[in-house]
Amino acid sequence: MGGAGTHPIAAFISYELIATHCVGIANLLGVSGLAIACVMATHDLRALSVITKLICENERKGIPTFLSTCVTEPGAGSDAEDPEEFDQAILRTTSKKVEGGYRINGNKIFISNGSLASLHVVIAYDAAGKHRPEDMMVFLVDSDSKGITIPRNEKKMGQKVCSASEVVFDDVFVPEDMRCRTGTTKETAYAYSGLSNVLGMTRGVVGGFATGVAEGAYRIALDYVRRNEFLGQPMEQQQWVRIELANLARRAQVSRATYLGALFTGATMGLMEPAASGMDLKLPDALNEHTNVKKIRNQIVQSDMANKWFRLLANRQTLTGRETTCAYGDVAKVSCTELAMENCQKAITLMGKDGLRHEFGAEKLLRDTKLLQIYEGTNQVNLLDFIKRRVIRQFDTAL
Amino acid sequence: MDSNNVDLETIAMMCKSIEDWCKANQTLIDELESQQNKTELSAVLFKELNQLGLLSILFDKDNLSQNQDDKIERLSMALVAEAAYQFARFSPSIALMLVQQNMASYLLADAPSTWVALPLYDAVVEWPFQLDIRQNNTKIFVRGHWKSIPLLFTADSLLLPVCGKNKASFKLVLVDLKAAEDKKLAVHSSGQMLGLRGCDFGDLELNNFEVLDDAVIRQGEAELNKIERLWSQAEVFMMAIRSGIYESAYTVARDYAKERWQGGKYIIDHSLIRKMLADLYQEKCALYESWQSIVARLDTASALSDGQMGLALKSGERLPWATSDGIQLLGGNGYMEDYNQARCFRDAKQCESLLGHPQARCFAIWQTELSA
Repeated sequence: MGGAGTHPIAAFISYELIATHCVGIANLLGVSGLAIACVMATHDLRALSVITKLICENERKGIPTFLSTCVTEPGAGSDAEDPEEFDQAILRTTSKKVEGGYRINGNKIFISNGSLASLHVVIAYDAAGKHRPEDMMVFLVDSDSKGITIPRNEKKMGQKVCSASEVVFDDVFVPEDMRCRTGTTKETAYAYSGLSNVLGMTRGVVGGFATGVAEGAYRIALDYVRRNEFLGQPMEQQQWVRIELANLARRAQVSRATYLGALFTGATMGLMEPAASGMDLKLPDALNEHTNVKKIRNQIVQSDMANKWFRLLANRQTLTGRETTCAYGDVAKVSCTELAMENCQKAITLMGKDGLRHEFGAEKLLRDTKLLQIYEGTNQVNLLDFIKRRVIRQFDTAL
Repeated sequence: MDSNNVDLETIAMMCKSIEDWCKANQTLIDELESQQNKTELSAVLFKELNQLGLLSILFDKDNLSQNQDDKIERLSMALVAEAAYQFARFSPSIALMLVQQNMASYLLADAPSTWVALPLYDAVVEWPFQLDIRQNNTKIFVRGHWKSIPLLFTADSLLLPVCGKNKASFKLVLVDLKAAEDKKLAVHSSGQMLGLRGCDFGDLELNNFEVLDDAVIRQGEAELNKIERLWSQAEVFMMAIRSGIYESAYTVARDYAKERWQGGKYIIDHSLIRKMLADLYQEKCALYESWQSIVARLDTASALSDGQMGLALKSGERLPWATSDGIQLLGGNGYMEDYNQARCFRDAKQCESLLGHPQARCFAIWQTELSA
């Protein structure tokens, strides 16, 4: 997660490759990416620099940096992941202004990386507000802060490598400079402008995870078919088996085209430009390490001018671009996860009773994949979002 | 009792006692699902189910001795199917164990005092390809691996089909797992399976294992045909188990929708949720009606009809998708093992291949049509 100086799409493709073997590990990394994206959506360079500093420091120490995004609550699930449903979601986590910062109280559930994260990106309402989207704030909360507890890790059906935890914030103090500032006239107006962008991008990434699974299911089935017989004949010599394999490979290929289409659409519509330019200072490593350069860079990041420039880049995205990107993201997530589920189911069926055994890997893929149809809004919520953008807002022409 | 009419009163009484037992023994059910070592729990379960008189319904001493064809009474079939359905609502694993033990009791023509393992994950057409059979003078030796046998790791004995390509050479052998020589027969755990985790699965390893004459309980083509018929009729038990899983997934989703508040109202008031629940409900009812109708029309002297077998196969294929929707209805909670839906989904997929590879069974149905 230290950044290899490549375009974000390259990172997303690497997630697909990891997911081919274990989508839980891809998620472990992707969740940290989601947290960064949530902060980027606030267009606050200062907040971003807190995260990048933490990552760099940990890299030097040889410690991995995991981040979490704390959105979901007991009373708010998929509705908390659709910006236009925020006003209906029962988000009870609040932040109260105190001297030098804020106090956060509330419970978050199903938080991926919750028990591993060094830093939580927490979404909370302004306690003095009226629970409107514009009362929502984004905080960076150090996981060692007093008042944070992890009462339990959830017993998930799959993706067990990536823990999902309940995270309780009991009067947790967060310094003023750890609140993400949006720079808009409504200082806290994050929901509409930010989260829809984040999800537009990250739903495409979930499509990449799913593509990895679809490819993984194909490979497992192929390997099995090469080694086994069906009713006394080698499986790979039977036409019906070859057709099943071809369909497994075909679905993986269709899935890849779908999610890459969504990501490239996002890229061409300018969605990832701030990500690419904001993170990449293009200085040689030796110069980057120079004390004076560090000071200058820090001053730039903290300056209002730099923050304005960063927001200017973000604002180059047109409304059409944003809507189109989000619509493509919705389609990619739903289609790719459905294709992945189908591949897992078909691979297991092809393998018969062996498909149900852990050592062959297909049953794990099936358990892991189901989560992809649930997080980042259930597929049903994604489809409602898609049709809202495509038909109700009449962005047909853009698509 | 008229054996051709299904006795509704008997069935209702049995259903009530099963439901009461499941509610009173939820801890045992949960422990069976979660614990690795199930030997002691399985023994307790055997005792409990045996006391309820549910483990040898298919073995009716008086009736079987009267008919040469070993025809099972329709009432017995109905009772086992109904018991499987009732248990599957609470624990599909126990439902499978109950069905398996009843099939074993029929094959043994006895009421065994401990669990008996059977290779339920293989269709009869797959049996000739499982083991390498060698004849040395009059002695028969078998070797090879037979994987994923339900209850093998818990059971004291195994009913092992020794089946070559020639049907006449078929033998069903009762293997005493406790007394078998270590080097010639070994049982390994299959590890954790996708579903039905309350049932211990095992892998059998045979290394020139000798088939002794006094261990053969059935042999020859006629007996194999009877077993083929049993395997075919057992599809109705598997449909009943699937139906119980579907009922459970639907009920939990419906009750959750009544209590979960989202988007400014209870989710059951959202038209999307209503449609999903309505779709599940009609399909669940259709599945229930399917196996009930099959039981009511069952000719126990014959295998299931091709149409009935087709319905059974379709139920196995469809259930994992339906239970997947059951998870969607609960969102994130549906994915957590604390709720019922994740287990239903896993169990549903595990039940798809019961009684053999779906494609092998499909080919077998068509082969009979082609031969005719």
